Parts: sequence; C-alpha cells; structure tokens
Amino acid sequence: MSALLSIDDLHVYYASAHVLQGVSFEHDGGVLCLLGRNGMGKTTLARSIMGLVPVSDGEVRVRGDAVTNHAPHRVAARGVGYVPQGRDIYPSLTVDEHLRMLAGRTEGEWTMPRVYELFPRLEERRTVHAGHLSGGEQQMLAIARALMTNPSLMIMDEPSEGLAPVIVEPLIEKLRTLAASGMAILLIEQNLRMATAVADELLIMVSGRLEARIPPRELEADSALQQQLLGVTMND
Amino acid sequence: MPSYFQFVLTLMNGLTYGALLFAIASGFTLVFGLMRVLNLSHGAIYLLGAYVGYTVSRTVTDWVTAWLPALGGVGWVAGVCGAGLAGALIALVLQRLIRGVDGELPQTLLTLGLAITIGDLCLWIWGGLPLTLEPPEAVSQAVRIAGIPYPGYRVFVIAFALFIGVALYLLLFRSQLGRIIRAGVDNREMVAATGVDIDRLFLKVFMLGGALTGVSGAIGGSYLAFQPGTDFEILTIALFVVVIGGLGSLLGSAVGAVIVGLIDSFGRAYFSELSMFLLSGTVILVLAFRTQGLFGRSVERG
Repeated sequence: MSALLSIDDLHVYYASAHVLQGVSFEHDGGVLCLLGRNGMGKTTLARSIMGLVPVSDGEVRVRGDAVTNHAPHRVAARGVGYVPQGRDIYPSLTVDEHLRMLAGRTEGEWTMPRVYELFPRLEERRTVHAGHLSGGEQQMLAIARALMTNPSLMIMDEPSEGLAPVIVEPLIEKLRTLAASGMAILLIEQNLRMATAVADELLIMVSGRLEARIPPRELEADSALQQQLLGVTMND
Repeated sequence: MPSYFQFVLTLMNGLTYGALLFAIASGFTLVFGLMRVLNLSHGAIYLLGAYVGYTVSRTVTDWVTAWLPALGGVGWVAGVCGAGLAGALIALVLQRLIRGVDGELPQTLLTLGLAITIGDLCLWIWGGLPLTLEPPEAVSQAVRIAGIPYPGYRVFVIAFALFIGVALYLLLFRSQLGRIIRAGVDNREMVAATGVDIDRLFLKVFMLGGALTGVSGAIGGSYLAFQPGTDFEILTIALFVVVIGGLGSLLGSAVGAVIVGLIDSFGRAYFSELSMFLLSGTVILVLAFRTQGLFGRSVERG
C-alpha cells in the first residue's frame, strides 16, 4: 500500500532562485511537522503539493497516484485539504457561506453540523462576515473550510502565525482532537511550542532541503540543535 | 412650461440610459471581479448582439407575420434571445482562447484583438449603415410620466434593468454558484484549492456575462441606433461606469450607471458643448479621490 503522501526529489524554482532543492519524504498518517526558519521553502513546498506553484522536477504522489503539477482542484479532489498561510478566508462571505459553498460537494463525515460541533465558536458567529472575525476565529474558519472538503490529509501552513499564545493553546487542542480522530496532518510551523505539542515527527527544512527527521523529544531536549537548525530556542 | 417638460424628459432619458448601462456594465464587472481581466471585447459583444438580434428579429418577424400577423412581436423576442446566444458563444470562444494565455496584460490584449476582429466581421456582414431593431407594439405605447408623454419602450428598458439587477442579486447572494463566484472574487486560488474547477467557473461567468451583453445589445439597439464604432463607444462608457462605481461590484455598477446616464443626459440637454467633458471630468475626479471607485475594494493579489 502506497503512502498517503509521498514527495520524491522535488525541485521548484522562482525565476532563477532554486527554492526547493530535491525534497523527498513520505507521510503516512499522524501529524508530521515541517519546521524551518522564514524563507527556507516551507510554504513553497505546501503550494507545490497543492498545484499552486509549478514543479520543475520530481514527483508528488497521493496514495500512489501522481498529482505533480495537477490543477489545485484535482489535488483537492484526491483528499488533500489546504489551510494556507495567512488563512485566506473570503472577507465578503459570512462564516456560514464559507462552509455552505462546499457542502455536499464531497462524500464523508465532515458536514456542516459536524464542523460546527468541532468549532462551536464559528456557529455562534455564523452570520458574521469573515472579514470581521478575530485572527483566531479566522484560523478556525480556514481549518473548518478545509474540513468541508472531507480530506484524508490536511496541509496547514503556519496556523499559529500572528496569534497570541492564549489563542494558540485552544488551536493546539483542536489539532489534537483532529489528529486523534485519525486525520493525517502535514503541519508547517515556526512555532516550536505548537510543533512539539502536536507533532508525532518533525521534518527540519534548511535552504530548500530536508536536514533531519526526528521525534519532537529530541529537538525539545537539545537547545543547541534548536539553535543550529532553526536559529531559535524554546525560550525565544 | 417647456423647461419643466425638458427637465422631466432629460431626467427620464438619463435614467433609461443608466438602466441600459447597468445591464451592459454588470456583465463586464462580474468578469473582471472574478478573472481580473478587463474584457475589451465587451463593446464588440454588445454590437454583435445588436446585429444578430436585428437579423434574427427581421427574419422571424417576416416568417411569423406571413402566418399570424398578430404575433409579429415574437420576432423581436427571438432576436433578443438570438443576441444572448451569440454573446454567450463569443464568450465561450474567448474563454477557450484566454485559457492558453498567461498573464493579465496578454489576456487583456487578446480581448482587444477579438474586439477588433468582431467589429470588422460585423462591418463585412452588415455594412456601415446605422440600424435599429423594431420593438413590438406591446412595449412601445407612449406612457405619461409626471404628465408628460414618454416612449413606453424606454420604460420597458428600466423594467428590464431592474429584472437583471434582481436576478443577478439572487444569483450572487442566494445561490450556491453565487457563493462560489463571490469567494472567487475574494481569492480564486483558495477556491481552487477547495476542489472547485476554476476554469469551469470562469466559463460559466464569462458566458453569463456574454449573454447579458448580447441581450443588452438587442434591447439597447431597439432604441439607440448602432453602427460600426458603437462597439468602442459602448466599451468606453462601460469603463466609465465601472471606474466610477468600482470594478467587481454589482451595486457599484448600478450606481455608476445611473450617475453616468444622468450626467450624459443632462450634459447633452443643458451643456451640449461640455457633455463629454462632464463625463470624463467625473471619472477623473473619482480616480483622483477614490481610486477604487465608489463601491470597489482595492485589488489584491489572486
């Protein structure tokens, strides 16, 4: 049986910049967290999986089927949910409309009532235009929207970005709930607290290459490694 | 009281022209909002709609009146439908062409090329004389407005624009397709990443816009004469409407259309030497103080 997601020697360029330089890994369930500093190519990796940036070389496979350079909707149809960096909610739609526009398009357990059950706060705010939500609520909405596509894998690009620690904690709880329900997650993070709290394994990315695949304990215990790989420590 | 007479007439003319402009601009603004492509062939689709409407209307009218003279109006209705079909077909062709072109400027230039091509084909087929369609008697009876007799057909144009406005509102704000379109206006990349085939969505919106513009050509061409050159006049005026109202906004094109209609009408009636200046001046003022138009949002990426 092929892995849920397998990335094989992926190369991506922006003009002449070689952003991804032969990235390979497999993800077959659980929470895999891609850690790295700004500008290391983490977001580019997420976007190239989704078909949002062209891949020059290498292959992206979902359950063994190549989806390299497929249109985003075809990647999504394979069961890949996307929670983009910066959340990218639709400011002129209400919370309810975000979910309703995807309702019934895919088969699966994630229906509007089920999504509202996971995010009661969104149900309270269902008639509010998403542009008026707080940052934390917008993040919940971006996750809820991805769930409505009934994915078997969710790619989440820095969900903690720009959120106060007091808001990150409930978000960590939601991710744990999702992971416990069997959802495979590829989490992209710079926030060590978030990464080590939810991830089963960590991928460390430096300058467009994967440097290490380690259990979270190993990084938590080793502040020299944190400094070396990420340029930050847990105490930052 | 000739001045009162003139005022009411000018006001009504402005409103009816504004109504037609709304029907023209709403398709334009919808396509831009979603695709970020200024469809410069919009005026050409209007003109083509008018010509196709003219030919279909005459052919069907001749055919129908030979059998049932009382149903002569059916020919005009067929002409309007034919115009909508022609507009939708051109939009289909345009969408297929545009899909293979990368970048907003090359796409916009492609629409300009198509506009020139359609304009020349129309000249070749229909010649250079000004034409008008003949609307059926039923909608052409003079009506009295504020005590002044007024052409019934122009009132019909207002009713038509109101119908288009309500239908588009329901489509955009009360339907599943509308939710997806509005989401696409906000962020089309994200809409694609949730499993929506964005090319098919563009095609639907493009064809809807094309049909609306073709129909507007036949409706407008039933009281405003059309001829070679009308395409770029309509394009310019549609641009004025959406620049004032704000690109991508339905409400904006409604308000912009009424403003442009009234300025045009009052300008022609009271300051005929200045009428074009008044319109352009308004556009310049809006651009200087509110670049995104009265109801527009500033354009972001995506």
